[in-house]
Amino acid sequence: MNTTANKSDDEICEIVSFSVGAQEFGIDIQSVREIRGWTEETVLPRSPHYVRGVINLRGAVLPIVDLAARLEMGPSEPSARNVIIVTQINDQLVGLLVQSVSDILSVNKSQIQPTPDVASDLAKNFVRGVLPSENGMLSLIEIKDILPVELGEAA
Amino acid sequence: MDMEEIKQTFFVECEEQLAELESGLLEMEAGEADSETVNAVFRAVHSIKGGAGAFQLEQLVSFAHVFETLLDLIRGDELEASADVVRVLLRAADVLSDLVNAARDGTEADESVWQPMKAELDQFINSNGDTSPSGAESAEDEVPVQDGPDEFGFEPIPISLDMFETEDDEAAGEYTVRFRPTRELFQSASEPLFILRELSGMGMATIECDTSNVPTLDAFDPTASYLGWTITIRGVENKDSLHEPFDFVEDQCELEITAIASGEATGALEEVSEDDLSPPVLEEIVTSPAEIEVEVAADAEMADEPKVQAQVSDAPAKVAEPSKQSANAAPATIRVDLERVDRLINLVGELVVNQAMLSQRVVEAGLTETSSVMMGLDELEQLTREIQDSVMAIRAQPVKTLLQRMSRVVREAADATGKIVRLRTEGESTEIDKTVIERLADPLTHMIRNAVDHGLEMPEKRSKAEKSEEGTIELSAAHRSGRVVIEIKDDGAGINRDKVRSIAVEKGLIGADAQLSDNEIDNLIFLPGFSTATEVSNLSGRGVGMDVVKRSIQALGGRISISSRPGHGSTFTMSLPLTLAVLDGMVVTVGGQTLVVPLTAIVETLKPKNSDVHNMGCDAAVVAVRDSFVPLIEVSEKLAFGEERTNPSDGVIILVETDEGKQNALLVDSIQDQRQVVIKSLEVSYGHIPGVAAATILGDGRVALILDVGELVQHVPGSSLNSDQPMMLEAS
Amino acid sequence: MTESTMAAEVIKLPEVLDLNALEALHTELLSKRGVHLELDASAVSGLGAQGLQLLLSASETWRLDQKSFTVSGAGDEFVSAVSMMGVDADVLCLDGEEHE
Repeated sequence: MNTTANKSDDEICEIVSFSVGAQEFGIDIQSVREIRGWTEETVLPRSPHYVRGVINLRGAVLPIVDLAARLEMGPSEPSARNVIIVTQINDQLVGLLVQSVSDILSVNKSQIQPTPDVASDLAKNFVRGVLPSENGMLSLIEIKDILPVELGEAA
Repeated sequence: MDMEEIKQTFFVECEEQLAELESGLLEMEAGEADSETVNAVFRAVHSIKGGAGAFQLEQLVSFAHVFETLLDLIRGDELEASADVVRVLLRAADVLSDLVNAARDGTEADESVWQPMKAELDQFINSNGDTSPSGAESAEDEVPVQDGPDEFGFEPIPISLDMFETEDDEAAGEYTVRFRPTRELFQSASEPLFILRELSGMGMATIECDTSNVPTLDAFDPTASYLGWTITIRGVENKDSLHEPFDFVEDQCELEITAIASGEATGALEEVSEDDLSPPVLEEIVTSPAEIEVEVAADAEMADEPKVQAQVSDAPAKVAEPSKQSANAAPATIRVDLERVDRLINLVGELVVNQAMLSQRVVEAGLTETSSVMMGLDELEQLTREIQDSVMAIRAQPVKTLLQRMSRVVREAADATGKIVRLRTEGESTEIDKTVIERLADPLTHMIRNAVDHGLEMPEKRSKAEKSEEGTIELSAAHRSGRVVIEIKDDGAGINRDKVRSIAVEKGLIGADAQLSDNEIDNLIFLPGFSTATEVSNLSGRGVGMDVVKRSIQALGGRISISSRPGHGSTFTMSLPLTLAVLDGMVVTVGGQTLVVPLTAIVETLKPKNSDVHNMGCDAAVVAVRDSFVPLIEVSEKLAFGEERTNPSDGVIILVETDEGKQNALLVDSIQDQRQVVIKSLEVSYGHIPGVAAATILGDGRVALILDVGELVQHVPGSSLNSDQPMMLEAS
Repeated sequence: MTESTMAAEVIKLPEVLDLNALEALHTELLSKRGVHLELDASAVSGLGAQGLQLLLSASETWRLDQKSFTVSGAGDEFVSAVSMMGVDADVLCLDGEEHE
């Protein structure tokens, strides 16, 4: 399905929905490169607590971000059942560790509601909108801020 | 090939011509030029002009024409190449380069620059009493004899060469014959010995045997052919006679006969016109059709750099001459798309990983060491290594062009600042991976500008200090312990430590009462935020600070440091990895993690006893190694791999030495293995981690980090590794 | 470096070193790996490229095995063939010169 025409409100976008903890999230499929199972990472010294390390993605080195930890929901204890969503942020590939991927939804942009004004900084920083979903509510994540810009120098 | 591609090729060749031009002019400046140099310089400009004509690049043609005319006078000994003249020529070369770039980019060159330059050249020509119209449209009239081919613009240099080659070359009759029989030759009962005998009877011959392909007995096949010969023979009347001994075996061997000193391949004596499709060199190669690919490969081995386009296709093929007209036979070369080379390198990298994984799995499957599978794997590893080395070598280029580019930077910087500067370069033939060379250009340019602008003093100040008015910058490149070391040394005033210190305090980079050693102060200039924007010169106007330079070097996997002597000058030292792709390393376990330590840094490994370890202060320790005490660094602790501290007697010590020669003892849990690994950049996929140089993928498919030993040991033992935080903050 | 306590085994080379002879020699050499070896070339009438490369291979193999390898009794024709083919006599330890 492709995005149709003119008014941005009528535009359809495809969202990959997934769960982290007990919550549901989604990201625009355009940033998603692939989805794979979790494998144990090689730890990176002195990295932020939400960067679990790096894994081998067909010969390339892929950093893995624990989304739960990033959203301050507590670190994950992943197993083979967890899923890595490989996303592209600018020129970088980053793998997001999530619990499981649910579905791919076609969503009309007009259906996206603005982020509710809650006290959580996190919500404000990372969530760019919410959607009603089968299981309740789905928060749309803005990928760009997942990895801070000065990542390399974070001590 | 379409017009666009041909045009692109022309511009690539212009680059080469410009490099030749510059290098020749520099030789003239240094008084080291001979007539050959002057000819080469002339030819370079002449070629550019010719090609430009074909593409109707008017401005370029007209400027090049005047330039060439002046050079013609010089090579015809009608005008002396005095120092003044050469300086003018150098500037003209810079202008020519700008015009070429403008033509290539489709922009307009700065008229206010090139028109006056052209007029200046004209002046030299006219003051010589020569009647050369400076209007360049009728270019053909002015250009010396070998005019015809010019119109087509594709003339390879060999044409002009014919005119200037000493006629003696052919008469001297010195040739190199390369002969390598195939197994078919033996099958047909021919005997190389007899051929060699016959050949050596034809003149004064020296015979060299290449035995490098002879395998050990276990791999030896008596029906195969492993030997090759290189025969240098002198005093032969004509080249054709050299073919005679090989009459019966032409199809059963690789044969190449080249003349020495004229640098030409056989049959290139006639004008190579547009119609000449197969370069003469290939003639020899086509002796044994089945061997064509092998021959080219063999030639590629002998060649130095990709230069010639040896396409046997519609396009006029060319035999590009080695630009140095020295007495070497023309190396056969081909020009290859860089993308293809990169793809090849990536594939070879994957091959290495795959081969490692395969070996690992075989071991895990429980096959014994001596089984034929294991032996086959060993051979595979050897082969893979060789392929990798060969492929890496393709990308390695001499730094010569980079160093030469710097001389222009120095000229311009000197002009802009009113200083008198001389650039000396050393180690032009040092080879570095092409990408590294490209990414070094900017940082080097910046450092050189810096050296001229801030390092060197004004001439009056220098003579007051009893130094020569002319300042010298020495730029050198060399291979040292598995890395490339580049140094920029100036004999200027050195770092003004007081000033640097006060700026750093002013910018909040260090505490006002911080105690710093001289060297620590010198290195403050690399801190982000340090750049002295207060000193805006029209040179450093872009405001790029030394911290950006340092970051660029680090991104290449390199290190940079500075040392300075007040009144005497400063030296920047950069150390870079030889290749961005591959590394020999020791695979170790640290804190449960697998790491790789570059072999080049390792001096030896030891199994320490607790009694050898001594504490110093509260946080530091040393280990006794024979007669000295070496600082002990616990790697797991340095990299914060967890709480557990390794008991020295339970672990292994790897003694490492940094580029500067300092030794440290790294304590690791155990050593797993030693192998060659493919380097995967971490910068690109993640960012810079202090103490980590890069990552690699091991045989089991997992990522392992490669240690940056220099960074790891740099910090005060026991303190945390904070990137870009000056040590001083922790000194108290 | 050779242990003079161990006497070298001797292989006598045939008069003609054609392909058949070389193949047989190759097999024999393989079986003799690991001992100090002397090749008696006194009967050899001529040496060609194929023979030379086998000798070179054997010489190198013995060097890697760190056992001595010498060629003794080489006649004029043998020596001149080696020289004409551009190989240094030392490489083959002609005239019993010892390897390192």
